[in-house]
Amino acid sequence: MSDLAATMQAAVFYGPHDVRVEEVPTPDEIGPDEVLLRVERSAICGTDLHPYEGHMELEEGVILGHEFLGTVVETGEAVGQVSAGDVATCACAVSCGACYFCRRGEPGRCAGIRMFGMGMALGDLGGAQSEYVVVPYADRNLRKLPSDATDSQLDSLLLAGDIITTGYEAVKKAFRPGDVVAVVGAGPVGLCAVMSAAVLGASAVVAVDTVPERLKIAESLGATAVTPKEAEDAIADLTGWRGADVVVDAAGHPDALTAIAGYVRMGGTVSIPSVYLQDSLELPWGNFWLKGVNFTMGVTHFNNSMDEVIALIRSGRLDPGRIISHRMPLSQADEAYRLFAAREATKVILDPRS
Amino acid sequence: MGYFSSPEEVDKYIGEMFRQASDHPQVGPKMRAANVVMKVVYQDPDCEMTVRFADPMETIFGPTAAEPDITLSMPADIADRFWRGKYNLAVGLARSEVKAKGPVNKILKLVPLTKPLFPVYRDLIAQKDAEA
Repeated sequence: MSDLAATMQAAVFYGPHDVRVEEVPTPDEIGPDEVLLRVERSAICGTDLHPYEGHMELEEGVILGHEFLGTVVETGEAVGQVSAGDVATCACAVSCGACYFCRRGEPGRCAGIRMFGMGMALGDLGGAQSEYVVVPYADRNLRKLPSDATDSQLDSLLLAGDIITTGYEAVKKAFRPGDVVAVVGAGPVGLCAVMSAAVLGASAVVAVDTVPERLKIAESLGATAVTPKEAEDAIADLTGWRGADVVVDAAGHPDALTAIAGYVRMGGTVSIPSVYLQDSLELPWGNFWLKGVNFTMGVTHFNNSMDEVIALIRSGRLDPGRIISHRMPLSQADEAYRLFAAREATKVILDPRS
Repeated sequence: MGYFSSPEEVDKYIGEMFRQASDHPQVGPKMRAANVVMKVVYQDPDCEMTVRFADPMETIFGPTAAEPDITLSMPADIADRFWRGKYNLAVGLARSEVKAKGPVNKILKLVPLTKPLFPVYRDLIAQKDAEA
């Protein structure tokens, strides 16, 4: 790594609404199972907004970013799945592959789960809103991408490490073909759930949001797009007053969970990919109980679903890249965060090369 | 033998760091507002410490009736490495070197507050290191 510059540009967290682009040391060593990646494009994710908006504690000085793809610069001696020059994307939350949970096929519950750019609480991994990033457990968590992938496919493949796989798995694990799926929150993950539900074979998809631009995109993806006020009636009309078989909570707000009690059918499933960090919530528990509702939630098992998602993107059946609204140089990360937090951007890609 | 020669040394260095944390300008207010009781069970030397992250913050060395929200278990040497900033907690959890029970969201809130205390700990052990 001696030919790399000693410093690189990175988006560094200093506190709520305080992201600065700075020169920081370039990673100068990798372990045997690690890979150094030159980041080609990196996204801002809704999860980044938790510390940005002060809803999640994060120490100062953390390089942000966990949704990315790049080119392999160097591999540790134990890495066999990628080589220098390969383009690869990566699970945003890396799992060890060896613990009790990983051995049971539940990498989202990995005892040592680590997430890029989320600080010490999640494994102290440098983030990918930077020029270079080190990927641990690389053979397990990186996916080599086809060398003939088009630029537009790379936009979608970039999202395979996070939001499209999150949306896809949120539907898939709760779902039977022909189901009616309601998606609450038509932000990036919600839109990914909408397109995944269609690909997986939903008979109808309802998207619920308050932002007209987001509803327009959901409609263009084939969903019935409605406001929260219209949602219960729209779902009732579509299902003979039965309710949705699956409701995906992609809003991450207690009000959404309360409303969902009215959307889901008896015995239906509420799938919650959104992050909730509150100690406790007040919910319409009687309604959920009497309906016999199933809940499924938690960190996505990225390693279980990424390959399916990548194959569907390659075949053209999934195209999450279409929700990208803004492309900005990494040097403008502070403005990019402001736009995304204000919902003036649906999805922002940062380019460390410009 | 491990880094700490006796349970009392664990209290002298790690316990004292928690006592000083309450007044730390960066993390003291957040720790006092956390409203969490954390017990840490150390091995080699075997001892336990309970920290009440409340106002006032309290560090109790040895058994106590205080009911913990979070319990951590680790060798005292690993605690020493962690507070020096040389141990990755996530990797330790994956290897089962460190065990944790209690609400994960409360643990996630506390961990980021520890980093500014690394220099406090390093100052506390500086003389012991120099004499080693």
